[in-house]
Amino acid sequence: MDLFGNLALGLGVAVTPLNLFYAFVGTLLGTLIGVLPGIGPVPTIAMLLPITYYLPPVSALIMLAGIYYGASYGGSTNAILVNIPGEISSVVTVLDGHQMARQGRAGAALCVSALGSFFAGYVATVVIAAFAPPLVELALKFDAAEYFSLMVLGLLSAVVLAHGSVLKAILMIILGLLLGIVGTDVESGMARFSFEAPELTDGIGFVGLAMGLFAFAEIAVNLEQKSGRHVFTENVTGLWMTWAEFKQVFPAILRGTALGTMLGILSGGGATLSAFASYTVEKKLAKDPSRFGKGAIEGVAGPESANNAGAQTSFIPLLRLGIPSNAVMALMVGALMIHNIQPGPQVMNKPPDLFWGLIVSMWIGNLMLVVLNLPLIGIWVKLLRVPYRLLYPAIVLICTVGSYTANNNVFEVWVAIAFGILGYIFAKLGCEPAPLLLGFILGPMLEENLRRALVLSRGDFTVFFRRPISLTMLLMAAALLILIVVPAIRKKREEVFVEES
Amino acid sequence: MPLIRNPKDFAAGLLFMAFGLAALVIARSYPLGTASRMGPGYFPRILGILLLGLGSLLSLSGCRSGGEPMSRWHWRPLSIVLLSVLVWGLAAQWLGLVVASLALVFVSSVASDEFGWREALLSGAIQAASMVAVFIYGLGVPLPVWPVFLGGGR
Amino acid sequence: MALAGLAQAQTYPSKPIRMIVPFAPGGGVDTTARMISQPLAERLGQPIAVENRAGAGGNVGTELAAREKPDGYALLMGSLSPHSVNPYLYSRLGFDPIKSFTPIVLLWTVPNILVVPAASRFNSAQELVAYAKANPGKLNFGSGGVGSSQHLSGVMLSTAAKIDMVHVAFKGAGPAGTALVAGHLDLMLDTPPALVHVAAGRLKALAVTSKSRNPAIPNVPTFDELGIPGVYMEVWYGIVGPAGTPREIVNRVNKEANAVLQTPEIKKRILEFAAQIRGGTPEEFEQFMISELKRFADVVKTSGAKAE
Repeated sequence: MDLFGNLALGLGVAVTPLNLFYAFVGTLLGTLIGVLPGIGPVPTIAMLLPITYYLPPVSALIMLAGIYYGASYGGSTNAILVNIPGEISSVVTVLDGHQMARQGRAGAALCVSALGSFFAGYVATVVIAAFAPPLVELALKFDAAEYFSLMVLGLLSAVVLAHGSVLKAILMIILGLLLGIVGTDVESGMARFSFEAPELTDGIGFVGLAMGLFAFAEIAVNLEQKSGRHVFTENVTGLWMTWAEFKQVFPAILRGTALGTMLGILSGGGATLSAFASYTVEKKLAKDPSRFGKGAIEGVAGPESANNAGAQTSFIPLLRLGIPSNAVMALMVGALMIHNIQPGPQVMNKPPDLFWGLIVSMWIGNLMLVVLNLPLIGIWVKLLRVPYRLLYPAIVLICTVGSYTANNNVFEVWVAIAFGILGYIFAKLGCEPAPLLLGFILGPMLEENLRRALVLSRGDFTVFFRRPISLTMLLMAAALLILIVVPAIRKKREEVFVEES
Repeated sequence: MPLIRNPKDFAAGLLFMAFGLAALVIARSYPLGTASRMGPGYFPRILGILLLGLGSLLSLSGCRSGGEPMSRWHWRPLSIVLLSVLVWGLAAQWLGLVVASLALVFVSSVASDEFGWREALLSGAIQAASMVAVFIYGLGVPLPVWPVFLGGGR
Repeated sequence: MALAGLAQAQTYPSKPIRMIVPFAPGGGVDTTARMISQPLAERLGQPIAVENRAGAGGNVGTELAAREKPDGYALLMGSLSPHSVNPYLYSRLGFDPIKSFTPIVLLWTVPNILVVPAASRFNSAQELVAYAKANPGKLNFGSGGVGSSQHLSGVMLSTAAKIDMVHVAFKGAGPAGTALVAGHLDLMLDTPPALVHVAAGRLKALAVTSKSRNPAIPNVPTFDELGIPGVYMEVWYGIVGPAGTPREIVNRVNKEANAVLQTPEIKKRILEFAAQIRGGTPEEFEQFMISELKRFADVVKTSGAKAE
């Protein structure tokens, strides 16, 4: 394989002034879109599709790809700054990123997010270039049974997201699973828990749920304290990471990149799961896990890297098979078809300049992301100096409009209100919302794959243990369960012991 | 010694039990199927039972081991913020994005104990204008800019 | 009132037109709307803004469109699911699939194609049917969901060939297609994007669900030719307005849309989608909508699908 020759060819295609310009425009647009919750890259790409008709295919793809990873980075920005997980993958970033911002370390959080994403994007792109075919074959080995076992593993790792009581975290996950299955049942087509509302037959919207549970509830909690005026500390420490912090996060970035690269190729939430998985790994490996949830920088670095690596490798199924792994990819297919290019294996072989141009443009796009965002960090951090009495109405407004734009429907705004109330109650009762959110995302997939696996095996439960990949993941899940439960029981005993003495 | 030693856990347990019970009640009409061919009612019922069981465990533990007391509930800021969102939702499609956004910023600002109506109006106007610029002109979101009975301006 | 309507129709369109798409960006309906809106806007002399109003299998946006003012400035990208299938799936619908709308123009139809994995033992539809007859309940066919075109055409095939297959529903045609390519399913009556995999040698195309062969895949036979009559599934896309849209406006949009359908550019792209250009008068479209609605009553009933 002539990897270097191909990369040189790609470099020649992508590094023209015009294509650099489109990479810049796409990344800039994506970052701006990403900062707005709700709207996401999909409608933006849909809107720009007609424009791409007038562009050469490589330029069009470069620009759209730029929007895609720009948006995923922009989402992290508002997760860190204002506690809004605008998209699923930034739920994890909220946990420690926003805590860092409150402690005056927003600069470091944004910086590690940018550099982690950059590094992960680079590595994942090399993986796409070099190992796409075997990775696709691996992804195709995932049948319903494997997906089910993967979801079980993912759910168990959600317990680790919380830093309080294990039992509460488990209950939040189960409640999340329940909320996740609201809507039309995939197998029977029956609407469940939809209360005659047509909008609920599609399920509870993620955007409304996240806006309510995170943004609205958080604002209410901040406002009830007189010190709500000083949500963010006055003494902002440096815009950059220190060398010590860099040494601390680098292994986390490496592990996150590896996880994201692997899970990104799986269709349906692979990239999201990788962010959660990375958080779990970092917390379990940390010498002092109690720092997590209180502004641990590895808790930002790992998941952010994983997320971006996953975003990158989710191109693999599209490029190799022509199978779009998410809505953004489906629109990319549309963009390719406008130019008479049928995506699929041919893309890799027939016009090699297109494929390799895209690969190289991913590098350039990631570079643009850093070039664009590192200077922006200063501006973002200044934004936090705005008095809270002016800042919070703006957050409420953006979240509300963002909820509307998710489906261009006011219903999502009502959903946000309902979850705002619930979120406040959770905050008062000491229930952390992050595990609920993961349960919410994985719930439908867990049920769907469990039932599909049983339909395909005609009711044979041993299917989960007979298939090697599935069995491996279930064993890992069992190991994780022991890791979670044993310390929890020990802690409980200590508590009881302390009280009785 | 009081009966409930960890009020947070105790109340949270009750909340989860309520969700579990509601799920079981609503899902009672959903076909259960069999373990090998699960119907749409199977999974919700398992979740409902788990919420009930583990929720009562949490409540019980709230009686057995101690914890910090519940902090005071302040419904005022929450209600005002959510009321402002409600106003936006009711007004947006009828009075347009400008009026709705202005109203949201103004109403939600009341929740702060540093509220000043001049400042709130000014910041509301600036934000309403930027919402129009970003969402209507930038992203083509289907919402009227001005009240519909004045032409909507779109 | 009538005079005002006429005056309005003569100056139509005098402001931008909205085209409501009751599905999220990226799907077939959205792609169709974006493909047609640009050349149509050029001919009408006013921009057409595509507006995605997704929800409840297309019902939310379709209901919204039915309630718009019938002045030609709010059009709907109508399609098979909301107008021909959902009336049987959902017990409560906020619109009448026919009476709430004024049909304007039928754009094109897209068939489903019977595909099996490349490694499959079946090399023809007859082999597949013969095997299914000998082994009832053994074959798995995938679909993008209950009531999707893949599901309903699978039901049509089961009924027509008197075979018993197990339906495996996925959340969207994409994941179902992946499972088929990976060999986890035995067959699927999939939409033309599956042809990518046929070209790549990962799937085999055995039959097409249209009445005549498709020019994009001239060597794939129809089910009629194979002696399995009654498997007709063509997903249709057409522009409709709210009920009571003035005649003049309907005719104007119909005329321009028909002209667009004849441009070589659209013809070429339609062929790539393996679609068939329809066009024709508003009356023909109305008859088509009525007959499709009637036809799916039995199919949906046999499929056992019910959303609410």
